[in-house]
Amino acid sequence: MPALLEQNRELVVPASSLRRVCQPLTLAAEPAVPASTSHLGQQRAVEAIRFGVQMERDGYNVVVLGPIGSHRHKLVRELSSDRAAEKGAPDDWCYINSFSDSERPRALRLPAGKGTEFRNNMRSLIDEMRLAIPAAFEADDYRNQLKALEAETQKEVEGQWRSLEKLAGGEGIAVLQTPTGYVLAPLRDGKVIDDKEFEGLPEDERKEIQAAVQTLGEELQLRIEQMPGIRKSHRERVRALDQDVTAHAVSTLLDELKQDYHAFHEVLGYLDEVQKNIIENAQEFRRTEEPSLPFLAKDSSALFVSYDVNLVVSNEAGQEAPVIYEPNPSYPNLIGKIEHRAEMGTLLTDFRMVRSGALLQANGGYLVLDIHRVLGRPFVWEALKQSLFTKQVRIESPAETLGFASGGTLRPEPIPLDVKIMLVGERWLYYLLCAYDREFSGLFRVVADLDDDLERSADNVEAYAHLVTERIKQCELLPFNTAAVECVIEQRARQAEDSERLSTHMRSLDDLLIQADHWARQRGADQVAAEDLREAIRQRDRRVDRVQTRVVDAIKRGTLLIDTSGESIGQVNGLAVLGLGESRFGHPVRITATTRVGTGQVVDIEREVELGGAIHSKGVMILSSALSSRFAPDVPLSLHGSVVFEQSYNGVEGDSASVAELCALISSLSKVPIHQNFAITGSINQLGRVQAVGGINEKVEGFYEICRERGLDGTHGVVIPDDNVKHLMLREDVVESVQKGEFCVYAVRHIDEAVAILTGMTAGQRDESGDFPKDTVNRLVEDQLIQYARDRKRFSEGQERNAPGE
Amino acid sequence: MRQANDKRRILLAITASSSLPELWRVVTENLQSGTAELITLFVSDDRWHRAASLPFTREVSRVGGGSENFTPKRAQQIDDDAVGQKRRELNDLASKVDLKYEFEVLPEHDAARLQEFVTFEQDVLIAPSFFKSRPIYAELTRLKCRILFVDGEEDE
Repeated sequence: MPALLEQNRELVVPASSLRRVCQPLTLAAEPAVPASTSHLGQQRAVEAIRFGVQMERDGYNVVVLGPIGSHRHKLVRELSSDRAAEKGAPDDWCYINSFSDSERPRALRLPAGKGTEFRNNMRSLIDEMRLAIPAAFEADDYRNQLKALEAETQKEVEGQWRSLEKLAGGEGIAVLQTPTGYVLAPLRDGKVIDDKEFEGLPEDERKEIQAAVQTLGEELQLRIEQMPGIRKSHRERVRALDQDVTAHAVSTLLDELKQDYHAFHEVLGYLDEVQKNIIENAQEFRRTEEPSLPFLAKDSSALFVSYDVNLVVSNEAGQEAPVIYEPNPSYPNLIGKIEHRAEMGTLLTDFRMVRSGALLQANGGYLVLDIHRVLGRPFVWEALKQSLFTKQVRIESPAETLGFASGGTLRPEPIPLDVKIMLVGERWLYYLLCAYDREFSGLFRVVADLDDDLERSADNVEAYAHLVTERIKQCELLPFNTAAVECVIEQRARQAEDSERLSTHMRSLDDLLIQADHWARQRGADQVAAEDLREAIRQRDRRVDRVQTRVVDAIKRGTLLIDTSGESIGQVNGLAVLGLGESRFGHPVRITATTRVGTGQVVDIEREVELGGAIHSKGVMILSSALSSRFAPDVPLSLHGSVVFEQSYNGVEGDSASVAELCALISSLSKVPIHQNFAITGSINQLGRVQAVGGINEKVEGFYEICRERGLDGTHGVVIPDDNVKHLMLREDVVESVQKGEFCVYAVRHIDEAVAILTGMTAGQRDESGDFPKDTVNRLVEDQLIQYARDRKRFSEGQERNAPGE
Repeated sequence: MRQANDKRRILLAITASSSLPELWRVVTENLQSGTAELITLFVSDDRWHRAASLPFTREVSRVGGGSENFTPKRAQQIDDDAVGQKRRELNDLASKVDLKYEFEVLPEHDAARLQEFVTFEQDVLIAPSFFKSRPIYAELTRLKCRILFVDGEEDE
């Protein structure tokens, strides 16, 4: 081991801490902690959901927060179903015709199962009426009565004409019929006289004839005017007859139905209306005349459809309350819709074409919705809130809701709503809704926040192992041997980026198990072993490592400049993590710093060119402050420094390079070179304390990869924050390299420790006189800063002397 | 002049207000009893023309009772329309049984011409019973053939 490593031996992270291996498992029949595939590690969320589903109060809808793949739907469904089983099936809902206003279909509520029964009964009734009513009109009894009425009317009409003809005949006038009317013509010897005969008559007679024609003409007009009245009277008598016949035909059928529903007053009222309507429209059922145009012909069933029942919510007695997940909560799918049919170029609808949405289907139970889908579909969020506020579902088109509908449409009676909404989604959407929608928190008062991981305690590990076993069974995989399960546990800690926790993300667990099973089957094994897990991980990484390979290749070929040997002033290997889709890897990045006399400013070049994010800039400002507070506190900071990520052409964000940047500045100020066989990561506070960062495993492995490619010689290593040691779950090959002495990981708590490792020179602590010892890095830094202050003062004085004026 | 071996004739006498179906049924029954030629005589009602020649006659509408002058032109139009209508009805009936027929318009004042159409005693004249009350009836009684009066719906 090189000398510089010896100086910092106490900072070396032992190989045993680089990857917390799983203690040998003994899978008991029942774990100490009950395992459920959906509940493990989610006690807080489970309690919240249970509270939400049990709370029968307005506004206690539930928001379940967790990443995709966390089996959040499964959890919600399980817990909702538990409660749904206690509640029982809700009522059925039907839409029926409103005979007084067909544009406003009426909602009819019936106990579970009764809706289907009622619809079927009404359809049977319609079928029977379809036969019974026409049959009644075909019966001899009806025909005879109709004929009698017609004869009576005819007699009345003929009587009118006969009396007129008699009257006319007495006056010597004939009543002639034309196709469209009547003509009064004088007679002589039974023959109509013509103009010549008329002219031959004496004048007095001619005048008498004309007067008689005139008078009879007026009488004729009078009688013609009476004809509509006679016909109307006839129609009314026929109508009354038709109604009597229809009433007789349907009363028996309806009375039976009324008996069946005597306990349901709304149904009885509706059946009375049906009976009244059928009788009122009796003549429609006996109409036999052909339409003037063939396409105007009505289907005979069309006469009866207004008595149909549109069952929009159907449950069965004895069932549980519904738990429904609507994967596509579009407006029609959620609220419902009114369908139309095209007829002769016109869109028509009626109460039978009202369709319920998921809200009504889940009425009385639980409706599971994805937040992002609800928010992503037009008008849905507002419609959902409106329904929850008003506690009713009003089925209408969005255009109607917004007041943009111009054509006539249906306005079905709203249906009372009693549903528990279970919104499932990611946290950021929840926070946005809380921030921007003031109504949100009033409607969704229960939050169930799924944990991303759980503590890696002995009990939890045991429970987790059982969870793994359970998933293996559910996914119908080959059995996993104990070593494989242990490997899974370790991998789940790595997934959690914490050796002391285990990831609860279920989809990634399933992926790991399924892929390990695949590789075991590929090699013909009847059991999944640890090597299959490793192969699954290696293959998965391999599938997505194109960019990582290109980065490593660019470094190997010297395109991306990274030194892994030698030393340089003001230059350090930082570590970055790149996340691209499923791929996430670490790689070294060269950070350089330059210093000169100035006005106490450290320039973040990334920030200047707008490639650096706010957190990165904050990190640079903190290191600048740390520099000024630690060194030469009695003199003005007269430094102009600049730091930059070399060959970085994308954005830089985060403060995990602030320790590296400060080390580069210190190196530049002290002129003490930094060993390039190290890389460093960590953030720093103003007091020089090194703080934990994310992606620690990927970062260590990223530098290890480069060093391995170039040849590990025992001098290479990575400096990490001491607070990150607990997060280490390094790959087994990296740990093996460390065990062989080929690679090393240092954990530091203070900037001085980092400087000592990187420079191989003591950083130095202030002595009793307040000075840093000679030949320490800190002393050199302070001396340089004091020199900058002097230079700046001298420069300022020179400028004042040379200034024109007094 | 018809010869002795000519086909016997079925004469169908109708007016504008004749209801054809029943008359046609009798016609087809008689045609089934042997070969015969069918001649339809449309007896036009000259009462309309006579009435129309008078300066003061008016046609009172059946719908609403309004009235207009009843002119010769209007009488002719009624006549023409009636002839056209009856021809169409007859064509429909005849086409159904694939029957050919001749159609003649006979003004009622010219009823004496009826004699021209009847030669043989085997000839048959079919007419609505309504004719019994019309002036033409006198001419009918002079015909030396069998006459069948058919009861049926007549508007008058």
